[in-house]
Amino acid sequence: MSDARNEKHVMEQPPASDAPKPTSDPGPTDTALATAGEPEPQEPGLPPVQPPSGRFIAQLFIIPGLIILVLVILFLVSTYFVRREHDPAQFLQKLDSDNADIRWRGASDLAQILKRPEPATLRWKADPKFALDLAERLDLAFQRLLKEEAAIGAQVAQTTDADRKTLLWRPLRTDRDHISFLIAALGEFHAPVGVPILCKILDYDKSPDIKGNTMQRRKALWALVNMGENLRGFASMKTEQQQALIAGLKEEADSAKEPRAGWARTALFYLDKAALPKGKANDIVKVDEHLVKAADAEDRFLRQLTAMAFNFWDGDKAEATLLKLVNDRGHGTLIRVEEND
Amino acid sequence: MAQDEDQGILLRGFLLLGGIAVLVLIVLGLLFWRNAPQPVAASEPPERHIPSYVFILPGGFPGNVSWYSVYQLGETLPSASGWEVRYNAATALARRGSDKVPWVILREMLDEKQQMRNYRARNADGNDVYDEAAARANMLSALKAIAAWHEKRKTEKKTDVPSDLRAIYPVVESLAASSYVEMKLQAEKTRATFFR
Repeated sequence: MSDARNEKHVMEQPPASDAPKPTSDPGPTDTALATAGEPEPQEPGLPPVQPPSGRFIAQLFIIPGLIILVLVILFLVSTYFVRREHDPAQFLQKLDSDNADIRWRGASDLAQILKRPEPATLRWKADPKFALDLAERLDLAFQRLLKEEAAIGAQVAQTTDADRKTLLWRPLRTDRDHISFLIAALGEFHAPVGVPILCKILDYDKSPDIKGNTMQRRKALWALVNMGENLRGFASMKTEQQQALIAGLKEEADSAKEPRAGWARTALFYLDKAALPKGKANDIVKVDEHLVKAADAEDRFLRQLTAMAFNFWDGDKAEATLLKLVNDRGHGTLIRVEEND
Repeated sequence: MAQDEDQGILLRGFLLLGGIAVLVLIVLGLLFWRNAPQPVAASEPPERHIPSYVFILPGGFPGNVSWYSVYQLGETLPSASGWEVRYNAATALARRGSDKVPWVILREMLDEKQQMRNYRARNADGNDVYDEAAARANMLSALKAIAAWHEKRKTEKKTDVPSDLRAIYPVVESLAASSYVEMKLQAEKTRATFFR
């Protein structure tokens, strides 16, 4: 048994003549042997150490370096495209798309950014121009909805069938959903540029679509509550971010683009009154004045939200309105959200 | 001799196996042991008591009114309609540090039984169940509002305590001994803001 093992070991040993030989730069011993003309069998063992060639160094460093460089370039390019994808302009482009899928994809992506509390999201949430662009879109969408609502309202008035009425109002759902998104999005910004348009939606109580409009008013009021909370977040922003936000609003407030400039002035009123352009403070929309009107709403939930909103929006009429709400007896209606809504 | 040794090893093996089995059973028992779910707080609908409420005793007013039944009625009914609006308005006034806070409403918000009745829903079997989380959220909101009022008044250096508010202090004290941890902690925080 042990003989067989030895035999195997011997068999696995490479023959001395198969040992690698130096191909260049033979050592002095080899030269001496060659000149002596007395060839001796080479001893088995490790090959002699040779200095690395230039090609070898290239293989070791340059090629891996190139691979890493290509990977870095790919990363930078993909980052650039992802960043570009999340540019405010790209979001606005998607929201303006005629294709509902693209529109909702853009809305979904933007919602995921705006709802995040990380400071990195201030790139969007503290961008006054972006907020004003969204406010313009909400204003346009609301005006369009009012026209469509009036047209459908005329048809609804001619029928007494409740199911038929529901069917007639159904086409407005897409527009209402789009408006709901823009309402909620504006509430997430640190610049309260959405106050005037949100108050306009909150005030509107003459709609023939009572349920749809009541839900929309509730959402506008809820967004105002969120906006009030985010307004407090302005104080915790870095000074340079605050200054950039105020500077952006001042630029817009001084421009001749109305009503956009007026919305910027309202935002300045709540963020930094000293930054308001002189002689242009007449069109400022004050939230508490609109909350006073909402406190008289027929919808009980709207009144409940109004009371809550005074936690975030102070004003001369806040205390008196709250004292009135303290004696609320639950009059009016309470429209409930159903499964199909 | 060798056979005895084998039997000893076998016995020890079985004993070890038995020990491991017992340990496994204990660990599994600990892992999968669940306390029996607490029965959902339920009560009979107040409408069932109506016949006793309308029962009129012989004699003239006020002796013919079953005052105990009236009391019972008060113990089974939720707050008057619009309580959600009133509660929000009262807490908003308290957070502002107002002089005109309706402390009676805040005291009602701290009444656990009343809040349970306000969040009563009817099951398919006709019995009522309570949304305990929503009820306690109202109580916590009231506690936070009371604490905010004290802090606001302290910054304004107005440390007078209205008599209605003084009546709330013992209620907060009792809530500080609540078995519901969140309530207990908030009640303790609120108590720490009181003007003594």
